[in-house]
Amino acid sequence: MKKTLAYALALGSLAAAGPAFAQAANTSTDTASGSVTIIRPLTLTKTTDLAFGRVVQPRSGTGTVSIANNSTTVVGDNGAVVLSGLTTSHAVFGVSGEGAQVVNVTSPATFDLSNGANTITVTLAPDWNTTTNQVTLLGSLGAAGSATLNLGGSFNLPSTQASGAYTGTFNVTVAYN
Amino acid sequence: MRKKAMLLTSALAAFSGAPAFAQANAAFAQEGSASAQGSVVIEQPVGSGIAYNVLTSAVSSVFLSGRSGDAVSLTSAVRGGDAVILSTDTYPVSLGRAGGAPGPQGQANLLFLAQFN
Repeated sequence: MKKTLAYALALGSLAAAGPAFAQAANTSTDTASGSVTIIRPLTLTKTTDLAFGRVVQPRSGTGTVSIANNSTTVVGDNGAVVLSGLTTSHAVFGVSGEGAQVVNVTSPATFDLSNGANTITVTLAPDWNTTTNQVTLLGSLGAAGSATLNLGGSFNLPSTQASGAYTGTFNVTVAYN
Repeated sequence: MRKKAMLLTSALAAFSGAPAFAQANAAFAQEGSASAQGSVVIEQPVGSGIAYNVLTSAVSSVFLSGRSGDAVSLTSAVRGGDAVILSTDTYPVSLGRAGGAPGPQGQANLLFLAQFN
């Protein structure tokens, strides 16, 4: 009677160990890490318009008018004369977003000033690298970043240009690279 | 059956619009745009000319050339300081002395300054 009981116990332990061994051989476990970099939305704000002020057209020929992208002084040449009395400035835009991030900048090469049917084509002169058209925001990742975009401009002024007030607009767009 | 199928198509279309909306919001957050205004005021050139009599060698008057409404400050040895508002594009300025005194007939030199303001 005592022998029978021992045999039954041995069989029981074998039956229990079999399935457990098979399960370990058919599974494998590894770990993946998740990550994300959260960056601030990008905002572009115009700070200053591109204002050439008052300019006298040349008596003959074609003059030139320009303002540098780091100056508020308008320069007239070849007979075009710049008058005082109106505030002049190059255009300024402020970019805010995530620090140390590269943004692509898009702006037109030219835009038109118009007065009724009369137009003047202005060639823009940005202060960023126009080959890459990219700007890196100041600051570091995890903190606010910013950049300033400056645009000067120039145009030809023929003696035949109609006098009057000319205005026009142009758009600048920035996007995370 | 046809009506039902159309309804189902509409519902699917509306459902598929949701991701597009989310994408638009994402695009807006990752870019920014702004516009600037350009401006310039083009003025006609201004100037002055003189009326000169070759027989008497006399300068009788000065003509200012500008635009009607221009304000011009004048300074001359004859008239002293003065200011005029142009009523026409070409404006004659008499060089006669104030009070009807004789003008600069026969004068060899004439100093005249006109400043458009």
